[in-house]
Order: sequence, then C-alpha cells, then structure tokens
Amino acid sequence: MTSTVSRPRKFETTGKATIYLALTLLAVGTLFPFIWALGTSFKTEKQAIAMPPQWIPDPIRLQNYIDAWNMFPFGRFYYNTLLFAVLGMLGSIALSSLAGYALAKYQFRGQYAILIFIIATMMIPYWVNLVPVYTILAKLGWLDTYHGLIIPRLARPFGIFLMRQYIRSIPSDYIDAARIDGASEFGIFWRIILPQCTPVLATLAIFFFVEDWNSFMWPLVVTNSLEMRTVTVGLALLSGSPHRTEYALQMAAATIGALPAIAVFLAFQRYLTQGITLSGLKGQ
Amino acid sequence: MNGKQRTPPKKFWFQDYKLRAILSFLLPALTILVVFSVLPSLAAIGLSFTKWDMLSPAQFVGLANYKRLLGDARFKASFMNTLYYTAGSVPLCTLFSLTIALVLNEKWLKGKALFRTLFFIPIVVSPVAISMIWKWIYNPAYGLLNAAIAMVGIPRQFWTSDPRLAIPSLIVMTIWQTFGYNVVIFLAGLLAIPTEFYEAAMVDGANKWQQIRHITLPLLAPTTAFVVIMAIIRSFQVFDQVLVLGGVSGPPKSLVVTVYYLYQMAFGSFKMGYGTTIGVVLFLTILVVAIAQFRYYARRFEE
Repeated sequence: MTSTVSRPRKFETTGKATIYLALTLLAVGTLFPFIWALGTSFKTEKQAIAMPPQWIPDPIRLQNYIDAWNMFPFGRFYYNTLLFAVLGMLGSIALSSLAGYALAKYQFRGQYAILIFIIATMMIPYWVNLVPVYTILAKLGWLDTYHGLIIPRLARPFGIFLMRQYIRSIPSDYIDAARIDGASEFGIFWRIILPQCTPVLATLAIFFFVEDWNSFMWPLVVTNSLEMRTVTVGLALLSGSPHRTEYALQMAAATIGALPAIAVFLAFQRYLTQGITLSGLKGQ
Repeated sequence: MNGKQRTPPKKFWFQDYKLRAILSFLLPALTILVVFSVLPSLAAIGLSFTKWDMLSPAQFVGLANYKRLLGDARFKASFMNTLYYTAGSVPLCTLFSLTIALVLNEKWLKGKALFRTLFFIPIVVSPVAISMIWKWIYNPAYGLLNAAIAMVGIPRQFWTSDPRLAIPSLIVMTIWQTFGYNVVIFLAGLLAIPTEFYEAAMVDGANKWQQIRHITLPLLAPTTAFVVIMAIIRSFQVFDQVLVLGGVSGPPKSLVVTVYYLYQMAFGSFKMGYGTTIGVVLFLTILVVAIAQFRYYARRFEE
C-alpha cells in the first residue's frame, strides 16, 4: 500500500468509528430516561432526591411497586385496559378484514365511492368529535361501560384500507373455485382469505393493541368511576395525587405503565415495523 | 315462502346472495363509522353555532362562538403555543430523523436492525408514562437535568413552568419520543430508491453529498411529505403530555396548547358549544396546512 491509498482509508475508518460511536450514544440517550426511571423506582424517597444523584439503587427496593399497586387499584386498571385493548383489537380486526374483503373482491356500484368515503374519515381527528360522541354515549347510557369504551373505536379506516390493499393481491382464482364447490360467501372469507392474511393481521393486531393500550384522552372522557379507569388514566391520577412528590413511587408507577407496551413491541417488533413501513409507503 | 312468490322471476337486491354478503361484510364497519365519526363531525359543526352546558337544551347563537374565539386571549395564546410547538418540533425532528435514517441506510453499517429497534422503543410507550418520566428529569429541585447543568455552573431552571423554557422542553421530549418512528418510515422510503441511480451517479463521479442532494432527497420527497404532514397533525393534537406535565395546578399559560384548552372548556367548564368551536377551527387549520403541504409537494414533484 502506498501512503496515498492508505490515507483516505484511515480517514474512512475513523469516520466509521465516529458514526458507530454517535449511534451508540444516541441509543444510550434513547434508553436513558427509562433506565433512570427504573433506577429511581428501586430507591427510597430519600435516595431518590439525593444530590448529587445516586446512580445505582442500594439496596434494590421493590416496596414502591407494592405501594403504587395498592395506592390505586392498578390491578383493576390493568384488567380494564387489557379488556379494552384486546377486545378492541379483535373487533377492529374482524370489521377491518370483512370490510376490506368486500371492497377488494366484489364488484358493485358505489364501491369506489365507499372506499373514498372511508379514507376521508381518516382525516377526522377524534377531538373534533369528542363532545358529540360523548353526547351520543350519554344518550345511549354507554358512558363508563366497556362497550362504550370499545364499540365506537371498532371501525378503523386505516385497518380497512390496509386489509383492502392486501386482499386485492390475493388471486381471485381460489375464490371462484371455492364458489363453484359451493362454499358460502362467509366460508370463502373465513377459510380462503383470512388464512392468507396472517402477516397483515398480525401487524394490525399489534398496531391496534398498542394504540388502545396507550390511549388516554378517550378513556379519560368516556369513563368516570375509578373501577372503569385504564392504566394511562390511573397513571395521570397518581401523578396528580398528593403522592406526586414521592418520586420513587411515581417512577415505579410509570414503569408499571411502560413495561407491557415495551414487552409487546420487543416480542412482535417485526410485525410492528412492517406495519409502519406499510403505512409510510401509503404516502407514496 | 308460498307458491305464489315462486312464479315472478324478478329478483330483489336482498335475494342476491352476493349483494347480501357485501352488505353484511360492510355494514358493521360503515355503521360504526357513520354513527361515531361522520355524524358526530357534522354535529360538531352544528354544535359550534350553539351555547350548551349539557344540562339545559342547546341554544342557537349563530356565529357568537366564532366571534368570541377571535377575541379570546387565552385561545390565541394556546394557538400560538401550539404553532410554536409545531414549528419547533416538526422541522427539527424531521431533519434529525432523516439524518439518522441516511446513516443507518449506509451499506457498511452493521447492527442497523438493533439501532432501529432501540430508537423505536419510546414511541410504543404511552405519552402519559413518558411525561411522568420526563417530569422527574425536569424536576426543578431534584431533577437530573438541573443536577447536570449545576456541574457546569448553570443555575437551576424551571423547565416546564418558565415561559421561555416550557415549549422547548416539550419539544425536546417530543423529538426524543418520535424520531425513531420517523427513522423507520424514512428507511422504508430509502429502500424503495433503485440502486441504479447511485451507480450511475458514481460513474459520473458524484460525491456522497451530491448523491444525497440530487438523488436521495428528490426521490424521498413523498416520504418526507408523509412524515412532515403526520408530524404536523400529531403536534397539533398534543394533549396527554401537557396534562401530565401540568399536574394538579394545571399547565402554566405558556404550556397550554389548543387541544388542552378545548378539553378544559368542554369538560372542565362544560362549555360544550364553545369547546367544539375550538375543535372545528383547529381541524380547519390542520386541513389547510395539510392541503398546502400536499400541493407544495405535488408541484415539486411535477418539476
């Protein structure tokens, strides 16, 4: 190697090392608030407010989790949120795939108009509707109930649109063959279409679950008794309660709220990023 | 079914099994969309012309709510805060995410999936939990941030209550939470650019910067448009963070954003008509911004 060749190469390696270093620092910075919250959650209140900050909790103390869990009915909040997120997800998937199938594989008048209509509803932000929807739920007697929490959110235009796009790519030959064999229309959907949709169904499942698990304003407005509150609302209640200056306790509660979403993401991240990629490409 | 009806061969729409299937597949979703989304938004427009406290019947007041909105200093302040937050967070976050995506897109880079996963984690956590954590970091008396700046001799700051710092603090939190999401979208967009373009440019002797400037950025424009528009829409809706950072005493004036003001008016003061008017105006603003963006990018695209 002559020096003229090795010089730029040396530049390149230091450049690459710098980039790795920068990315690593950024990754640490991204995780840091979580790590700091987790660390605080194991401390005594006295250690939590120590100056200079104490980096490693000693001893590791789980009492804050027990206290947070008992201070507000977090068990009940978890149950509510799970019910809300799981039933909401299953129902949304059912409605999205049925509607998506109808729009993808049948020819009928007004088909395109209905599709445009559904896409247009994507533009409506939920807070414009907050007061009218609240009124409808009040009239129906659905406030502070599970069905009030779940049913209005079941038709998600993004899900319908994504299912429609995906099902269109499935060859129609199978459908025609099944129809000749005497399969019912629902039978075709259930036995032929759905099994071929597993990747997109998984994506939507994670999407909807995380969306509902993290939603705040909706459960805040629709529920009002403590027994019906969700985890996010419970966290906000705790952070505004007289315990707000018990920082270790607050961080234990925040961890309780953050962990399930992170766990679901890490377990199914392939499907989630795939879904985001799909939604991102929608813009093209 | 009796014998008489068998003779006329005329078929009604509900006897067509396909149409029946289409209807039963579409109706559940369409009914919910109409009842809980379309009709409410029409009702919202109607409600914005009324005065209503939910207890007594709504009174038609014409344009009074809109007139009131124009003279409402608190609404204006909330709107300016929202604009400030949007103008601060959207360009910074987009630029930052794009840079990271370009770096992650480099062929020689190893551990791309790992970085992408780590950067993405904050977005899957609820803004409520995120805000609790940042509220602790921003804590004026015991927060880590003030401890850190104290080491370099900067006096303690009131990150979320100082009028000069409240929105910037919210912006930092937002960029931290959302950049990973944008990176994933940008990476998907970058993947869609055919490699032949770069090969041709390399033959022509174009350097890295020229390649980015003349190939990557123009071809990535639709993705960028998507990212920007989604970020604008998201930042106009910011609410959870403000509520949590504000705590029991409520957010300081410098942190009250429009959706928070809407919530306060409708569900705090039971001014349902006025609260809805705020929503309608904010929605129209977003719509105008989104359409302007689309047109801008569409024109750039034609060139």
